[in-house]
Amino acid sequence: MRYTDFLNDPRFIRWQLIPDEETNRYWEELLRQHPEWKSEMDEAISYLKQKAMSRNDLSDLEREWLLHSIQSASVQQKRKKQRLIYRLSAAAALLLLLTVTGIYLFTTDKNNFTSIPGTELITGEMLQSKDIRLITGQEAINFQEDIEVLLNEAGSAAITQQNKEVKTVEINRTPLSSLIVPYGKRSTLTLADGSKVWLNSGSILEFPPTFREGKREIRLLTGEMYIEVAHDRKRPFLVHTSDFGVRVYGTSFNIATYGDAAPEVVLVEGSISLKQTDRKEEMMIHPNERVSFDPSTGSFSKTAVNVDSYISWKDGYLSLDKTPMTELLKRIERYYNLSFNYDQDVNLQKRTCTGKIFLSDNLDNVMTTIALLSSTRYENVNNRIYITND
Amino acid sequence: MKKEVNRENDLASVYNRYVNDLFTYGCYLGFERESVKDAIQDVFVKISTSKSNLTEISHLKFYLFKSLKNRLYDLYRQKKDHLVLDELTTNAEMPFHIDLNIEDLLIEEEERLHIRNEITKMLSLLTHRQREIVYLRYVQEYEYHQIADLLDISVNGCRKLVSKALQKLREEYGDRLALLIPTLLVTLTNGQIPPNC
Repeated sequence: MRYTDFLNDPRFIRWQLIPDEETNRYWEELLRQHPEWKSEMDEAISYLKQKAMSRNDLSDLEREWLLHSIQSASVQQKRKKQRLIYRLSAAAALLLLLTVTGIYLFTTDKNNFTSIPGTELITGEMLQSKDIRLITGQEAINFQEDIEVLLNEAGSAAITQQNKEVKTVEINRTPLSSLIVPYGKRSTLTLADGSKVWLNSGSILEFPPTFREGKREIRLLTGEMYIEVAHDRKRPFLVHTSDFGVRVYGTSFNIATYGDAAPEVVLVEGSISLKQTDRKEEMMIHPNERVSFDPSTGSFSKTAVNVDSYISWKDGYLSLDKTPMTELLKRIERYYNLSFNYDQDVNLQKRTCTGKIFLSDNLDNVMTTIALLSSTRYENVNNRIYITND
Repeated sequence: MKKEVNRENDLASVYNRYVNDLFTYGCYLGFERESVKDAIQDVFVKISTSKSNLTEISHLKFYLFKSLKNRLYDLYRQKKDHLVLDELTTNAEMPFHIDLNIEDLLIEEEERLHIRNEITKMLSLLTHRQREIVYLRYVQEYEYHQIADLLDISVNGCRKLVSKALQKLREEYGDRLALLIPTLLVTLTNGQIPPNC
């Protein structure tokens, strides 16, 4: 008897699915007569339970990615909670601040870096760098450096790095392919209709190989993108996010939907409308307007802005206009894949920056400029960043 | 700080241990794979940010199954306004489909097809709820009180559903079994292999 013979026997399957006294007696008797069949029968049972009836088509890649999403979402939620705790207990914050400064003075003594007691401090750490990933069908391709993806009308993608073509990939239609740009990296994607997307650090974009008739749709799962949409009156362009959709009427705009800040859309030119998922009302937006979405109340709010400071990242610089230090550091964190620790400090965070910062590959230059613009001091000791008041 | 790190590891190992079963259960309940993944994410994020430690939750796997089902139903209810009234009234019984996977059985294609058809036929004789109970009891090895909890029915109601399912299978297959027993005993005494049917 082979285990497949058991599986081929409806009486066996019936006994396995819903045993009763009668069937129990039958199969026990059979085993008593033929103890040598026991191992094959056990194999049939474990196959039926763990394989046949436990269909699982979650790929390794999906499983890995899902865990990654869970972990980053948890960290963000915890951070939110922590900030609240700090705000609630001023005494605890003060104690912590003193402790940290003490250690700081002690450890940096060798580096000839003097500091006044009671100095306020922000520290930063460089994080391990991750690869850019292009996922299509069951395939995932990793890139260590920023990429430019160009889709053609046949649905295949040419990938270049610094103007050199490195790879051509056939793009799957279902499920949608995704481009994952981790913190510290950027990429661009030219879609099949000629629309061009700039993806900022920490973004995931889902896209089809080509657009069908009647509609063009992409989905920004998280992060920030700037898009210049190719004009096509017959096929409206839709950008979906988890909270709302953007309908485009030939245009360019910036959209940011990071988990740790309110999602926002800034329109550069043309016209677009926003619509919440599950709602009917649309909100029209005009150039030089910024709309942010408050997930807790489910409402949009509109303000007039200077668009340059929202889209300059795509050209490799930050344009700041009384930008709060925390906001600036958040952008630097994403862009260079760092982690700043500024929970214990209040006054340094209140500082604002005005001016332009060129986002060069040399982090020291960038941080020195920030120090200059915000009247702070910057030191980099063994890849650990210290920002103190001047 | 160190404790935090340990807890992350706990989360990852708990995730790796149960994510397949959770995903399968969600899919069998008739949800799209993306919705199931979203719901799994919500369940784990909630656990990792709540105060209670993972190790403090008793019957962890059951807790995860229950949380996943609740979350999926929340998502289902959110979408409900899009459905027609008709569909709403019949939702008393949510679908439950078991997708068989026997592609890797090392036997002739014809035999494989036969096995698949036979098991599929047997499962199709059951109602959605009965199928869900069989899956939870047989594959996941839950106790009746846990199954009743997952299906939101009484333990008694659960047992009744099982006996009805048994009744149904008896009607369909039982007679053959009864007839086979005498032949089987004869063949056994002859030391022969009983015929497959």
